[in-house]
Amino acid sequence: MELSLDRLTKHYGSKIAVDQVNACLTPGVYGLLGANGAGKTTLMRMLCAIMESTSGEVLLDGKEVTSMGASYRDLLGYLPQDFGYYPNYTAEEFLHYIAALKGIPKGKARKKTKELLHTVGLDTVAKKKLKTFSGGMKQRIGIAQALLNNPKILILDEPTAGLDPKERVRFRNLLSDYADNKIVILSTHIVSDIEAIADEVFLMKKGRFIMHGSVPELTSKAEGKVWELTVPQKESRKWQEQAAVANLRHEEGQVILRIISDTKPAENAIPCEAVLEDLYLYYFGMEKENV
Amino acid sequence: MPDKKTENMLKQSLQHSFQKEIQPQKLEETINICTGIVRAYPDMEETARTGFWQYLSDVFRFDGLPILGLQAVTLFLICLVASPLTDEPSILPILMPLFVLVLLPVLFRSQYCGMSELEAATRASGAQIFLARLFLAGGANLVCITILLWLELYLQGSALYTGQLILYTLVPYLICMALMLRNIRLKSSKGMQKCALEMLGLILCLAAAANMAPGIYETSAIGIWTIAFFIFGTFFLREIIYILDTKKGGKMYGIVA
Repeated sequence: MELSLDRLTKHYGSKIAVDQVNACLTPGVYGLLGANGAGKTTLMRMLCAIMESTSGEVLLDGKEVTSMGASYRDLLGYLPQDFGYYPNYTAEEFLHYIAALKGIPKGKARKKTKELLHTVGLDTVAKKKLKTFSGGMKQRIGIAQALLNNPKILILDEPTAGLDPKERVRFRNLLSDYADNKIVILSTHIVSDIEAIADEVFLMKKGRFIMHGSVPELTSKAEGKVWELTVPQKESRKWQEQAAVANLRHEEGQVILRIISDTKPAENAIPCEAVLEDLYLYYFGMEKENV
Repeated sequence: MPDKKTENMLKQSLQHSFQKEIQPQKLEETINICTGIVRAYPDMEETARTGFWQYLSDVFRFDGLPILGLQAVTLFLICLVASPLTDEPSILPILMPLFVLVLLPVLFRSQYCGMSELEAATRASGAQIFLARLFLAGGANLVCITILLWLELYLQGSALYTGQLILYTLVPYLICMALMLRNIRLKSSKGMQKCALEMLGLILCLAAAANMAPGIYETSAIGIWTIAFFIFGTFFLREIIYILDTKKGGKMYGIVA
């Protein structure tokens, strides 16, 4: 199975949301990392064939996905970034409803619903109405509905948004178990999630993939650009204003700053090992939110 | 699902069955065919999907009650208003848009509940979901309109004006349906509110016409109603054909994202 993106482009009037994106995805977990407005959601919608591209195409094993219609959507599991729900449905009814839309026979749907509610930790509230659910619980029911048809292509837009740390770990484990022999694409702002799950990461900026590779490959590109600097507390603010500070911690009356910089920021700065978050900050950290 | 381990076991088993004179190319072909079959079988089992009628029954399970309930309540209210005025033929057309008006929350449910995007990515797609709801709603409408006509004719005690009454009910109904489908096709933002306003506007227009031009309800004006029936019937059919084409072409219908 191979999902290819061939010069995929989307314009909204004069604004370019996705710009000539190329990629070839085989089974594995792919992380999409980028600032708000980078074009991740638009790209994911085109991958799901629910949004037409301005030019270029998405191909599954050489076939254009929009022309495949239901046979493509049969292989697909999708969790949109902001999805609604029918407030009067219970969790169980909601999954039964989505199963009906996915064409899953009733008996199988019941079995799968029970199994997934247990997997996402909602089996005890299966009979409760969705309007009583918290944000995290709704997100979990969203993840469950995406998995109902055992999709070969799973597309998750911000799947960990609203999940507490324990639930995020549960989700990571679930995805690791699930991902075998499937294409899983997820976008998130939470760099540590991508770092823990993704086999390959795409860095997206202004509608383009500016970089891609495995986590070690990408972090190696930030090597030599991450420094640790110990400064007196009164100088901390000055450093935060003039440099890209990834982290700071207080220790024995002093402040230890983690600085992202091409050059050594100060004489006493010590080089340290880069992580994906450092790379992210290197490319996006010094820009305004609406990149 | 046969994983790598299963595939390797299959290969080993096949290789061990041949003790001599192995033709590597033929062996590779056999392995490919076998792994293909093993791979395909569970897929076939997993991708077993329900047919259209099962799908329709599923939609009925989830949407049937609100559709039928609202239609029944509307029919009851219309009967209450119309029954004392059986000698006023203009009352039926004025009340007909109510049948479509009460369907709007069900037909636009995906959009205002924010489910369109999620539903569009399922096997059913937005067009099929809408078509199924429309099928159920249209069926309920026809049953209600038939009951209403039968009641009207029964109260009048004559079947002389059956044709006229059918036109008086169907023309406003077709106008409402065509307007609603057009709004969805054009992806009007706030489509439901727009449709509701248009239908209320139609009610006002029909009421004004009944007061200002009562002649349109004379038998001599039947030609106007017939022409209107064909015009709006054509518009309605065009919209239905558009939805069917959209469904067939796997394209998106209405506002998705």
